[in-house]
Amino acid sequence: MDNLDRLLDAIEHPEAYTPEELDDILNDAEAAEALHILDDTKAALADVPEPDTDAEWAAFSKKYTRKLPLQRRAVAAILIAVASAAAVATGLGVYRSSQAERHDLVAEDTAKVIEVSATDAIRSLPATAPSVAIFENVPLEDILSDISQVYGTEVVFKSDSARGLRLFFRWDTNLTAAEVVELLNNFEQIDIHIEGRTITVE
Amino acid sequence: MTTKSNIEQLFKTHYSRLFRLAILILRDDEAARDIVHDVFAALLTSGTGDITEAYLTAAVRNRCFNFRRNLSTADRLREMYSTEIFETEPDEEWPDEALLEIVRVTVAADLGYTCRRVVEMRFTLGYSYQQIADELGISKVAVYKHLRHTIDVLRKKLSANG
Repeated sequence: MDNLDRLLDAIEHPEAYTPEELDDILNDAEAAEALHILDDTKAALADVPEPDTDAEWAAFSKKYTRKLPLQRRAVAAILIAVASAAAVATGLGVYRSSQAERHDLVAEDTAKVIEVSATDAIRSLPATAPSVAIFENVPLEDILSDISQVYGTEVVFKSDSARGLRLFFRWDTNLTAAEVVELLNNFEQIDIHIEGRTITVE
Repeated sequence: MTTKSNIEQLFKTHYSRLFRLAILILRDDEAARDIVHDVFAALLTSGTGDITEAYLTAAVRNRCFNFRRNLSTADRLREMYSTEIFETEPDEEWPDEALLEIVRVTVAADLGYTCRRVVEMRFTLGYSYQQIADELGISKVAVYKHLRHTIDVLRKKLSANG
């Protein structure tokens, strides 16, 4: 069996050869060239199915709308309860969306949602897992409110026009608050910075 | 500003073409689909401001190249991925559509009937050598001979066309 026959055999049964034997076959110039020709032949004769683009978009759109993991949502709810009193006490110009107005920010997995009221004690939470939240066409003020509840920051809007800016924004909750602010600053119409625990939107 | 409608518009405009490119390179529907989806998913953080058709094409091509390169030699052989195409990154003309057309025309016009059937069964239908032999009533050795003949004919034709 010459190297060309060995190549054809190895294509069908690569498991029958050791890695060294496979390298040996491919180090032969004629076999390497033959494989190149076979590669092109397979591409040329490939059956290319016509995709259903609308269905693919629906699948893509669904796949990349994530829910916050259970533990993050619990933290957010607890911080709302704790911070509400603090906001009143400090007199800061902080805007918050109420829990009743929550919207497109949803949890990452379909685990049961725990209801946390203002009177619940802070519990220990299960180990966190990486998570991504997608805001779809959500006003900036609501995005910052939700983000602030996780990072423990406060938000100051210096103009009302920025509050209602609607964004499609992917939030990796493993980022720091400063990193998230930097990402938001990439939007042309947003001028935002963070100092200490205060996020300011111009 | 990145909006869902921006990404949707790009997706619906370019998905079919990008999917076809990925299929030509990988010949694996699932892998091709995943790579194209990943390219659009990356826009969710990078934004859609400077995204061009050329950018999306290069992104899919590069991911396909890396997919192939990260396979073991055994898996690359199984998929008939040539192991020595590019050093670090693929050409922007890969795969060469003109070359692929020469291959198609040569297979259709310059091979005998049985040889052409062997090639179609192996490369389009994905039959094993034994399945081809059984289907055509020939020996497995004869299947090898037809494939070697095909390689020879294509080598000469591709050399003649530069």
